[in-house]
Amino acid sequence: MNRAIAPKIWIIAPEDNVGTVVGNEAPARTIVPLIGAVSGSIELQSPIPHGHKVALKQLPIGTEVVKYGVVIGRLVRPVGAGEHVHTHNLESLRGRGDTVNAQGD
Amino acid sequence: MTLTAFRRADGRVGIRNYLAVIAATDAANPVVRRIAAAVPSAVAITPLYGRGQLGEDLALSVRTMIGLGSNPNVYGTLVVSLETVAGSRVAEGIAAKATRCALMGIQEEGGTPKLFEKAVAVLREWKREADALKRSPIALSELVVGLECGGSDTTSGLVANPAIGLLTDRIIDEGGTAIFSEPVECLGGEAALVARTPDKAVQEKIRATVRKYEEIAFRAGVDLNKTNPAPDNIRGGLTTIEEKSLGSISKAGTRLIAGVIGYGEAPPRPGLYLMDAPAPATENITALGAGGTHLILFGTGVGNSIGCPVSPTVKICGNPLTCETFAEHIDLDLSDVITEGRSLSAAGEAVNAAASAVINGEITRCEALGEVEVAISRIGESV
Repeated sequence: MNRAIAPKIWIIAPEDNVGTVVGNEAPARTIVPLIGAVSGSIELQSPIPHGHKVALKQLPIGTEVVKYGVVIGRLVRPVGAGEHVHTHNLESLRGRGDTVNAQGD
Repeated sequence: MTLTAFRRADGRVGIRNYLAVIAATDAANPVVRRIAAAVPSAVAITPLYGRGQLGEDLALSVRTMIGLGSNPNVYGTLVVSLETVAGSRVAEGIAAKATRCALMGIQEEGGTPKLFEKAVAVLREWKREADALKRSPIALSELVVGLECGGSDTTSGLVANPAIGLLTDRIIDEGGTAIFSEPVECLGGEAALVARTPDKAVQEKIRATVRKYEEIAFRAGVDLNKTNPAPDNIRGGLTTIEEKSLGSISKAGTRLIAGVIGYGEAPPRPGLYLMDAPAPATENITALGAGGTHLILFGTGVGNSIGCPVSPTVKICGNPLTCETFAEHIDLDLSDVITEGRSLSAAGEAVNAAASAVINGEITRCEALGEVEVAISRIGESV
């Protein structure tokens, strides 16, 4: 983005445990304000690109990640508050033909 | 804003007077492209295959071609096929819907150069007739609006799709019709959709239609998430199909879901419908256009350039970077929701204004650039 847009973390539903960084990529150690369903701020532990998710609190392995107030997957690695949440630590629970047999059980 | 359109003899309305040229068998694709390029307002519809198909697969292809050729935005349709028997099953279906229709066979016309000359003469005559038609006021309730998203990212679910959803609610409240599709992008959001109808049969149909796509991944023994979210979605921050779904379904608003319809089928009554069709954009908007959509509201995040040849496709984007770097493909820039904190309800008003302008004749980016294509699903093997 040519324009400088201060990064913010957009929270969709109050029960969400991740938020979405909007605006310019936020470097690590930046304190970024929360907007939307929750107010406050969080210190990022890693640089997070525009549109990517950040953990709002410490989340142990196996935690169900909630966005839109709905489960969007489960953590396969523990994540600290302010850390990037994406394909390296979050897996889908649906359409997993790799782990579920053809009867869907 | 007053909405205007062309009133057809059977009472339907069209927001364009396209001349459609359909290749009912793929040998006709090259000449169909040349014919459409020779006449302004003509659009080429060149699916592949058309021979050696049978059963449900053939029925789906023919139904979709008929739906595209008889879309209310089409003034007249020329069907071209290698021989006229294959083309006639399409042409007869279009003529039955009261759209002007002609049929030509490459063999019967003695080859493509002769067919080209004859076809262009027919289309020029239709164009003369169509150019004399005048728009008259219509009600929003007379329109069928398709809902699509493609090239999605996390802004799609934060901005473009929820803003589209506000117009979807208005359309339904005014007695109009909207179709959302892409059932694979309802995985994880079924509970919210099922809660939007008290009708147990519709609830089960929604569940079964969504489950069908999850079972495709089960049968293949693969992780659906390796295909959807697609690489561009993942680059845009979407991680799982559930996350993508929850953003995707927000374009369908919040109102009662009236039913589930099959690929390329027209809604039986006004209201909001889920159409059973695969999610890839070209394949999906082909099905929507065949279902009679007058226009398609298309939310995008990282950008998707494609539109439907018979249903003006309005690209709506909330990603500030895409609106800057992909501007030639974006009809409505909603990125100020992110950059300026503009409200979603204001963004919804902007979607309404943009849709109204397109209904009234404003040319979309897809129309201006010629970024229109069809892809009809194949559900069986050729023989």
